[in-house]
Amino acid sequence: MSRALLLLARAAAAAAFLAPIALLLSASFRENGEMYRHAAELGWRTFLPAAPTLDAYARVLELPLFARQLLNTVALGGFMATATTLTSLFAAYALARLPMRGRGGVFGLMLFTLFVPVDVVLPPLFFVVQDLGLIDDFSGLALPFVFSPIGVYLLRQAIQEVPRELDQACMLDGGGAWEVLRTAIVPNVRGALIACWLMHFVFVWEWYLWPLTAMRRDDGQLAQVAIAGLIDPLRSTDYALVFAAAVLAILPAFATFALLQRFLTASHATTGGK
Amino acid sequence: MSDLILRGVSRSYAPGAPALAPFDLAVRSGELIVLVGPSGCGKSTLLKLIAGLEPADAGRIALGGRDITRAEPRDRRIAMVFQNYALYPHLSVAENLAYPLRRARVSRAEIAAKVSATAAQLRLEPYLDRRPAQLSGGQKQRVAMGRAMIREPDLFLLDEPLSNLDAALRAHVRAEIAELQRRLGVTMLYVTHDQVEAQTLADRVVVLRDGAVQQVGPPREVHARPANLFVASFLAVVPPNVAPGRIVDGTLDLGAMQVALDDLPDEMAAALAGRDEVYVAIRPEALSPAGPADPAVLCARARRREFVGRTQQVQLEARRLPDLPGRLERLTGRRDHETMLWIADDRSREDALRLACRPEELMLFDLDGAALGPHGGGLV
Repeated sequence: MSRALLLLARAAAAAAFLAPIALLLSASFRENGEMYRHAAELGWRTFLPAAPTLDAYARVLELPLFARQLLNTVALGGFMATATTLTSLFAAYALARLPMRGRGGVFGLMLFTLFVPVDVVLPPLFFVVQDLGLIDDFSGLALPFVFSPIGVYLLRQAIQEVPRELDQACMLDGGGAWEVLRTAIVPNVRGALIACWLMHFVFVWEWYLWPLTAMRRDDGQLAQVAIAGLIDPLRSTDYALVFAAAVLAILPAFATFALLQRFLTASHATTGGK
Repeated sequence: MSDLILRGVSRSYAPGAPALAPFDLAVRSGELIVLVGPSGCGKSTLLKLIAGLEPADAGRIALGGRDITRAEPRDRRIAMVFQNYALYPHLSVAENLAYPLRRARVSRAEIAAKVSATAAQLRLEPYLDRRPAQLSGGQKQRVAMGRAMIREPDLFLLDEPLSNLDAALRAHVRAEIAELQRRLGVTMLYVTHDQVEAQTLADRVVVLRDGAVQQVGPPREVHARPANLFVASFLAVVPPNVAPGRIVDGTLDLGAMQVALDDLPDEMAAALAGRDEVYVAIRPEALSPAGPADPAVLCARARRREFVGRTQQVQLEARRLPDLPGRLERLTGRRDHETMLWIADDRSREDALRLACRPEELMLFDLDGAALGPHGGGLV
């Protein structure tokens, strides 16, 4: 009984996450004229296109900058994921292992920054990046965010699970701090590193306000911001086009996630011990 | 030359609570020292101080004439075998063995030669390509030993190396370690909480309790002449029977046993002079059925018998003198002093027992637990 309830709850939760994507997918195969016609009657046509068509996808491919903008998102995702994982690894290593005064305080302060929304710091951030001459520049987009408290938290937990004896063995075997990180730590936190990378890769798809502010060149813009630009409240919007573009935009994130997720479950730190 | 000298080395984690009280020890080159004590006695802390994994608060450490008190771990020429072996899980056995040499920038050819020599010595050749996760406990233990041996350190530190092995394997690996140590002639510091390992392996044992050294000496000597009640109780397969005793009118009275001071050896009688309360310890194996002429006879009733092969452990009920509650427990670190034990052969069946102990086998301690008379003292 309770098992059936649990299953039902899980299915409901999964449906809540999948439903918007399913609607997006089905809408992307519609004609614009059909988009709202069946909204009120609540039949199968409310959810599924009467005559599925790929026209909207063809129109996406005709957009001159879309491929470039999608590449921007993917490239930024790759860069952010890699850079953030590296900075998180170094910070987490220091916070988990290096003996220093006030380590807990630094960690707490770092976690505190999670409570400050980006929107709040956006105006001063803009001026700082402008002073650096990096507005409308790829690195200006990336640089302010290559540090992630969540990544540090995740990796710090993982590093704390690695037996200290492994560090100590490495130190006695002739390793310094760098060598300990490479030999004793990194091979044992691979799962957490991949999780951290994947998380920050996908996070880039959520970026909106910052690229909208700091990137004014169309060919440098991210796909999701450009798609939002297709919605024009003053004129009639090609919604099928918007939906098809959105589907194409999430494909790289989806594919990457599907490819790497098997590393997430097999992430137990194995030691030479029992 | 690789003798280790510790002078006043100490360490505390919280002010006023020393994990290790100022500690002196001189280890001769080629000697096997076993540090033994219950968990939390500071033995592992001491190893970490020597290895440089933790800083000493005070004191000096010298190895082979070099002062290494402030040296980095990698510069100390010390190898350590950890309780959980601490093998690198992503490296094969061969790579694990080679790792310290690679860090020391030894040439590739020399590394290969040394790895195969070490593997041969430890019977690891069939496993060189395996990962640690594919090895049994005993094999991992040998790899850990090999990784320590391969760079020919001046000092080996072993931190409870057998505690992750099952009992059957333990005696075997213990003998292997002893054999290896003799053959290589290396200096070794071995930490354990197991008094059997301490007695079987050590050239000298160091008994620790609460961060303080209790006694240092060859195991047989420490066993025969424990410096205090704690050592007497800890370094024994079956702990001795301890009872409070009173000296009245030239007789040592334990309640269940009365011994005339005239029947004790002169040194023991002299050590008792001027005292009226002591603790007396009697090893269970020192008791035997009494004859009519025996001067020290324990009268007791057998309460329970446990047969082990051809011997039996007889739990005895005997009259005891009153004692300050809790003091004996504090001094020995053990409980259950009410019941005494006798190791007998399996023929004994009587319930009312008269057991004799040779007077010189009585061990005498003062009320602070320190040894009195010839069996202790002067050895620390």
